[in-house]
Amino acid sequence: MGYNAIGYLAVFLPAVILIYSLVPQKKRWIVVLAANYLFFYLLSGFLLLYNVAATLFTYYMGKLLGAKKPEGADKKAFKKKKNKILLAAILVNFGVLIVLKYTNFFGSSIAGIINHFGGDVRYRAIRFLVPIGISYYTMQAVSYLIDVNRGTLKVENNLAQLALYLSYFPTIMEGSITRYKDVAEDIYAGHPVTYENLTAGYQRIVWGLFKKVIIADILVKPVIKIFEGFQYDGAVCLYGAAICTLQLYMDFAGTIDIVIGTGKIFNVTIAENFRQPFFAKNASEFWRRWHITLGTWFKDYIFYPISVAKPIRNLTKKAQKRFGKGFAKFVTPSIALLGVWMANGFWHGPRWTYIFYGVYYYVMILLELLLERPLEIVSEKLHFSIDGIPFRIFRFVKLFFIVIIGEMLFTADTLTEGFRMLHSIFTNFSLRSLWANKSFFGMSGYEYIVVFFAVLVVLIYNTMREFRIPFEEKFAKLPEAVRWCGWLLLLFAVIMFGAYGPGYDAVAMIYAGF
Amino acid sequence: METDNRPVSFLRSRKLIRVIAFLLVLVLLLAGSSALIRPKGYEAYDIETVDIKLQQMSSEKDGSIDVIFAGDSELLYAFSPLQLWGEYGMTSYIISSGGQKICDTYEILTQVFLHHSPKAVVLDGNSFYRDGSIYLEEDDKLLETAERIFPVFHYHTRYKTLPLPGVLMSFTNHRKNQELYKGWLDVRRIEPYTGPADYMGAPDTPKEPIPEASVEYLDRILALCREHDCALFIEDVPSSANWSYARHNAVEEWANAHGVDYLDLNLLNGEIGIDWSTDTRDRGDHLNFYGSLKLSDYMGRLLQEKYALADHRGDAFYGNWQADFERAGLYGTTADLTTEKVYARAADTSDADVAGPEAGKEDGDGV
Repeated sequence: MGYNAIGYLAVFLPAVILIYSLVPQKKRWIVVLAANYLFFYLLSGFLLLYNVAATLFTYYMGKLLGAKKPEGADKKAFKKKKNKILLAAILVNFGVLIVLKYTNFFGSSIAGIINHFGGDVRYRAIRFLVPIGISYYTMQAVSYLIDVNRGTLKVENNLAQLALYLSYFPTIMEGSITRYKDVAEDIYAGHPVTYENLTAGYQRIVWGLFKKVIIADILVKPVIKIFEGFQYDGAVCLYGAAICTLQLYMDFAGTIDIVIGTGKIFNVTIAENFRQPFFAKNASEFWRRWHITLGTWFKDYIFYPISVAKPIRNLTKKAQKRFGKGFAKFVTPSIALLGVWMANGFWHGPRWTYIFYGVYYYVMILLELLLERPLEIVSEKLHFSIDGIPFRIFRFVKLFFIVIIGEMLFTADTLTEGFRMLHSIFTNFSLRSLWANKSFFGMSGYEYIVVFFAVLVVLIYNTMREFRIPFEEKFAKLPEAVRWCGWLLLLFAVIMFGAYGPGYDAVAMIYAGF
Repeated sequence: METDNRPVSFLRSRKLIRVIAFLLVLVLLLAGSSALIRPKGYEAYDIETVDIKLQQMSSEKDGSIDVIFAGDSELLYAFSPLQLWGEYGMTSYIISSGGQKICDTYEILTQVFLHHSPKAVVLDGNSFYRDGSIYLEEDDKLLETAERIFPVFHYHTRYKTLPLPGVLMSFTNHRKNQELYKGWLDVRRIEPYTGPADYMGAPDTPKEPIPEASVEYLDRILALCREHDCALFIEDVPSSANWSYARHNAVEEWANAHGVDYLDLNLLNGEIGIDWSTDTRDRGDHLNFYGSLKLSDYMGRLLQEKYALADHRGDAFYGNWQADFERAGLYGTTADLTTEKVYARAADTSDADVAGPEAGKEDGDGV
């Protein structure tokens, strides 16, 4: 059952809302916790115990890390001891994740290397059962522990509140990756489901369905057909790169809309995960607008600690002495970004395509960083403004291609196939071939029309958001009947044009493999 | 009076009435749209396919079709009505589509019988093995329930049967020419089957039971045919990937129990002259143009004899058939369609599209 399933939207969620609202406020957290565990169980069965174990472990470690320094104890030694405990806690939490998801990857990769050098070993994959959301709740658990250790978060003595946070059903499958201080209290508080929040929440859900069930789910088949059958046809590959990006964006952002809408119903503010990413100036900014909560997690827990670490600061000082400030200022970001992007690639999963994805963006972002000053100089010398329209168009086109090529390599089954497609874009590009093959992509003329108009609607709305045009405000001023018609129209568009039922295979939610 | 600014649950708010009202309006709209979108007089698992088939067939004159071929994609490439016309002067139509379920075959037949009185319905056994019921959603029982309550969830794909301007229709390649070809698809691709010749297995292999829902529809199709004085004939198109004695035995048992003729063409590959190195488009799964030449020649002769089908060539009533035959330009003139010439044509695969690295390309088994 995914968030777009009728089971969730019309049965599970309304049932939770109803029972929650009938129960007195003080007891509502029990309903939510039960809902969390039921949801988890429906998706992963008894693997729920992994989540419960992680909760208990994190709770216990949290108490250790939040302990006050005993009187007379040495401050530095105490801090060192806590850091050791934190390290152990992080290793255990991530350890479970790594063993379950990455063992086979490491095993087969090592076997591959041995065989490359003349060995003859075979790695037999172990069939691990992986609980849903493990990548998400592990990140959340670790963020909690680090914040408690840093002193920026008060340790949680209420086990229930921590359990609620680590198993929260709206965010367990695909994120957003929330921070304890942002949501934990509200989840536990059992705020009443007001009319305003109920309607606003379900409106956000319908908007998410519009993006996912219409645009994303229609595009699943053409993406598969192109990536499997047209790797040598350059124009088709480029087209495939563009639509796989659109597919992923609408799938993920649409699902997050459903997630945030669900939270909204219960007055829980789940962090936004997308902010019109294609309006970004460069790749760096793109990643502050795409999968935002993953980026901020890496920024706070990898980039920042690396940046302020003593060895790194010393290295920068040494570089400054030898090579001057102009060079030295790149030392810290180069190393910190490497950490971030290796983690990003790795987090996406046990595949070389994902790891390469991390390297790819590391290179792109580092290049942008290094070329920032030279670009300023060039723009002055050649007298063009980097804020002018022509340059902004150039910047958008550059970003567009960086992103879609990245997503193409990410989506390909293997790195070899991905590079094959990339190669064919440069060596076998023929628009005529793309047009001649258009009927083999598994998308009828009707679906092209539907996707075109749906994307147009999303584009218009996103543009309004980017330029801060207050659509919601203006819409709220319209008469009620008009507003009802608007929402019913949107909902019926999903029902009529959605990619479900006969003719459409079950579409697995992409980011729920994590 | 001081207003209480504390948030209030929607259940205790006066606005609850709006929630209920909205839900009522939603239910009404779902019911209303369901009533509008449902087909009148028949049902379908895949309404898009069924309606397109009926649309395509509607251009044939009432009472002009002698034989109906029905099944799934196996049939789609196997028998060419235009060749059957050119060689034997018989009129036929293919109401098959890729993955077509037997429940849809039944529903299409109910509508076909309103306009035609065929002498025979030729059913392909492969389609029996696709679990067939109208509302079945294997992966989502709740969606299935929703579809039964509000059929708009089931029939929403019907928007894909509306007419579209030509250039947009070209995105759905397999509909091109299908009306002209009377439901058949022309595929010149060759991907040889190189596996064992005795793919059928041992003759005494235990039966693979036909799914219950399919048996139900088989009974209904038989009754429908009997009601309209039409013979039911079951056959199986040669397919190394799909057919076997296990299935053969099950189908034969049903056919014998109901007094229905059954002919497994897989056992006649030699007689028909099927050459697996040229006659299949996908390693033995489906036939192609070259296989279809042979099979149509064989089947046409068989059907004409068995059901005493008239040769309509020259009959003004069937004028459009000769016109369509010539317009399609696939077989030369009717004089070029003797068995000898047909087999010679099948052996000449110079216009074949031999599968290259783009193995993923499919010519659409669909509608």
